[in-house]
Order: sequence, then structure tokens, then C-alpha cells
Amino acid sequence: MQNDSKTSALPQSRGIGGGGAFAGRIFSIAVNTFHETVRDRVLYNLVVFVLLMTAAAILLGELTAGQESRVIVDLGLALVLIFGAFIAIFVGIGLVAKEIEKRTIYVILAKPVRRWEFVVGKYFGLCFMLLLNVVIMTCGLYAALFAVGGADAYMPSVIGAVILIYFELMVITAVAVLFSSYSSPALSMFFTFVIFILGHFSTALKEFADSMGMWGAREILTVFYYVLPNLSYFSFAGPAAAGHIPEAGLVVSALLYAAAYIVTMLSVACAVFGRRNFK
Amino acid sequence: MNKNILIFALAAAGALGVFFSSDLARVNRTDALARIKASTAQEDLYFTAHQTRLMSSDLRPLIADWYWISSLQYMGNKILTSEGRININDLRSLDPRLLYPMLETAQTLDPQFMAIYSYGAAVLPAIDTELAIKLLEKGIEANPTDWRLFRFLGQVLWQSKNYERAATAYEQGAVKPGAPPFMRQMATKMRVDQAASNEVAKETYRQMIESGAASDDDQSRQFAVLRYKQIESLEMRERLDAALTAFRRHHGRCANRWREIHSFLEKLPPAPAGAAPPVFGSEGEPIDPTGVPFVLITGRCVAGLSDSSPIPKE
Repeated sequence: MQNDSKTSALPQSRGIGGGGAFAGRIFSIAVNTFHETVRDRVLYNLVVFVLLMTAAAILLGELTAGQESRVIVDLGLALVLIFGAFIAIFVGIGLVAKEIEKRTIYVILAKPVRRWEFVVGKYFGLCFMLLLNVVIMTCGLYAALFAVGGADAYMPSVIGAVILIYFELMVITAVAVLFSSYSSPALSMFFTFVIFILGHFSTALKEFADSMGMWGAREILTVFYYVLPNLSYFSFAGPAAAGHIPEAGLVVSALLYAAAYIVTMLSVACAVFGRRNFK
Repeated sequence: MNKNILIFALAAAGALGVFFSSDLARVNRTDALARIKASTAQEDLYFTAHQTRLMSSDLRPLIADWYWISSLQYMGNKILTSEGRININDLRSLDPRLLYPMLETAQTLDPQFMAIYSYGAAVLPAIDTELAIKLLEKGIEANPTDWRLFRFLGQVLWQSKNYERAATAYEQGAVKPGAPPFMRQMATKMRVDQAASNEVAKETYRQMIESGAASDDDQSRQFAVLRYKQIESLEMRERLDAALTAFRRHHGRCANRWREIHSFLEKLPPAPAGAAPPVFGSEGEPIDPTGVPFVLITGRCVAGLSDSSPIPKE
């Protein structure tokens, strides 16, 4: 059975335990989730990424009048974000829902695992997978830059930008897990995708809200602005292409914002999942 | 479940496709493009600078790259399909009306993209100096501490013979962080020499060449190299013409071969400091800075550029 390895890896003791025991259980679920995504061939996207970066390194020299390093940085960072977001959304929405649909959730929750530990473990499992993806894609980007002679000039700024992109992907994954905890995969995908898009337009949303004359509409849009994740906080592609490195303050504030948003999303997800009736 | 996922993945892709295709199909209605004829409709921009404000900040630099590459191809196509000789001082005959909107859109998408400004400073003055100044002023507004933009602005103003404003631009740039000493020197030269000397021109183009090499901006560097060699060829021709005049005065006729004026060249008064002296090939013929021999125009008794020389004639 496909999920045998997953269930057998969980702690077998009958008591739930306290202290650091929950960390071990979350880690076990996370590792199993990671293995599951590897089995689902999620890493195949890296082949497409490498092919695109190789083609860019070869072809752009003819088109960009000496700006190939910059274009490779822009293309590479955009691909890291797009590929990562697709993995976060398409895999994230199935993390919990798939267990429910295949009824393996009964086997897992029959073991001494709290529901919130299950949700958090699933979340971290996908975050590990995204981290591996992002690291390999960054290596591919480095290889392409090295090929055109721009590695030394751009890699520090690229690494800074990639760290911020990874924070963004962690936020998107948390949103996907939240929807996955109570909604169908189709609706979860729709909602997460919409939030990903709107999250990139939060500034425009605020401008739009400020320009609205109607009282109710302005307040509703303002609420949306504050509730939706402001993903522009994690955007550093433009300065990275100019060779700038993100300041420590920017990275720390982005990390704090991401952590706050992730904690909120996962708390709601755990609360919803904890009350859910699987009968 | 997998079927549902597939359906919604397709729906999401479709929605994205509709969103982008509707914008791609939208005809640009800005003032800058209002004059575009129906025959050039295929050259319309997909997005105006105003519309791009709403794009995701993660993708803006990539779309800026796309507009930058498009602007290079746009001018390249105009030059390749043009009939007759290209005058790099006046490219209006090519009708490149979309160049500025393309560069402006790229600048709005990524104001830190320095190649846009160096390319604009090199090419736009040959189309509309005011547009070049406008682009650079937008750049300065977005990057007020970048001395390079003040140098580009000074260069454009100098080309348009607006020496006082050029000197001011160089002065303003000279106090920005990292500005090299030549910024202040250029400001002084603009005011003292009124920028009419070849020395000032060569210094301006030398800076363009060096900055182009530093930023890998091939287009601007090649343009500056050509202009630099044009000035050098003018200095060489001034010396050759002076020798030809001396020969005619002495012999009562124009020289038939270049070797005849060698001794007259040696007797000429010293050339201005920094001026490029004539260089001779193996058979005694003077060669221009690109290595192509000058031609002797016996009718007017002057030295001229060969048709095969890449140096601009005007």
C-alpha cells in the first residue's frame, strides 16, 4: 500500500507524550511528506528549468547587446518564483485533502499524533521540498551566469533575492495548506491561486481602495489589503538585476512578516482541521 | 480528485491566457503613440508605461528586458530595411517613433536598468533631443544619487549645444557618491571652452566608451567608438588638408599621390595637444582610425573618407 511507509515511520507509542516529543512526530510527518513529493516526480520541473537556463545562456548573447547576465538573472529569478509557486500551490492543496480522500487520514490519526502536528508536519515537508528545488534552481542559475561571465558580479544579489523568494513560497504554501485543511482540492487551488495573484497587486489594491469614493467599497478593499499577504515585500528582482544586495534589515523584516503570516495561516488551518469531522 | 485538479489547472491557465492576451491585444492609446499610422499598428506596444505600474514587481525586470531587447531589434530592423546612407546624427528619416515609448516603458518597469539610459542618451538625440532629456530626467528622479545619469544628461545637453545646462548637469553629478573627478573637469571645460573643441568631444566619447565597457553596454560603446573615431579622422584630415594646401601653394597643382605630401606634413606647425596625427600604411597612404585608407579628392584637393570606411560621413 502506498502509504504504508508513511504510517510506519510515525512513533508507535500509545501515549502522545509532551515536551519535545511533538517535534519528533512533526519531523517524521515532514520527512514522509518530502519523500511522497519526490515519489510524485515533483522534481521533474528542474529539468525544464535547466533546459530554459541553458537555452538562455546560449541564445541571449546574440540578442541583448552585452546585457545577457542581467537578463539571465531576471529570467532565472522569475522562473524560480513561478516554478516554486506552482509546486507550492499544486502540491500544497493536496497535502491534507489527499489523505482525506484516500482515507489514510484515519490510519494516521489513529496513531498518537495530534491533528495540528499532522498539519504542521505536512507544511514543513513541502517546505523542505521547496527548499531543495530552490537550491538546485539557484545552482542552475549560477551555472548559466558562470557561462556568460556574470557569476561573480551577480551571485551575491541573486542569493539575497532567492532567499526572499523562498520566504514568499513558504507563505504561499501556508495559504495552500489552510485551504487544503477544509476545502476541496479544486477550490483550494482556485483560492490559493487568486491570493497569489492578488498578493502581488496589494499596492495597486491599496491605491484602488484610496481612490474609491464609495464608503463601503473603500473599507472592504482596505480590509482585503491588510488581510491578503503583501507579496511585494519579498520582491527583490529589480535591485538584484542591478547588482544590489538586500540589506539585513529588509531580509529580517520580510522574514518576520512571513513568519507572522505563516503562523496565522497554520493556526487557522490547525483550528479548522482540529474541528473537522471525517465521518 | 486528479480530474478536478486538471480541470482547475486548465481553467487557471485559461484565465491567465485571457488576462494576458486581452492586454497584449490592447492598442496603446497614450499621447506619445497617438500619431501612429495604421500601417505601423503591428509595432504598437503591448503595454504602456502607465499600465505596467500594476504588474507584479517580481516580473517587472523581466518584462523590462523584453522591451529593451525589442527596442534594439526595432532600431536594428529600421536600419536594415532603410534605403540609402544612414546619418547617425539624424535618424528621423527612419521614423523610429516607437523607440521612446519602448524605452520609457522599460524605464518605468525597472528604473535601475542603466543600459536603457545609456542607449537612450546615445540614440535618442538623433531623433528628438527633448525625448532623450525627458528619459534621463525620469531616470534621475528614480535614481537621484546615481552620478552616471547626470553624465548622460550632460552629454545629451552638450550635443544639443546647451553648454550651460550641460555644465550644470556635470556639476550636479560631480557631488554624487562615487562620482569620478572628470565630472567636475567636464563642467569646467563646458563653461571655459564652450565645449566647441575636439578635446571636449573626445573626452565625452572616451567616457562613454569606458562606461560602456564597464557596464557591458555594447550598443552605446559601439556608438561612442564610432563617434570618437570620426573626430580622430577629422583631426587627421585637417593635417592632411593643410599639407595638401602647402603642396599646392608650392607646386601650383594638387598632389597626385600621398607620398608627395609627406615632406610637407613634417614642416607643418605642431598640431593641437591631444589631436590624432595621420597614420600611414605600408605604401605611404594615410589610413583612417578604422584602418581604411583615406581617398585623395584631387578635384577639391582634400582628403576624404573612403566609401568602405565605417566612419560616419556627416
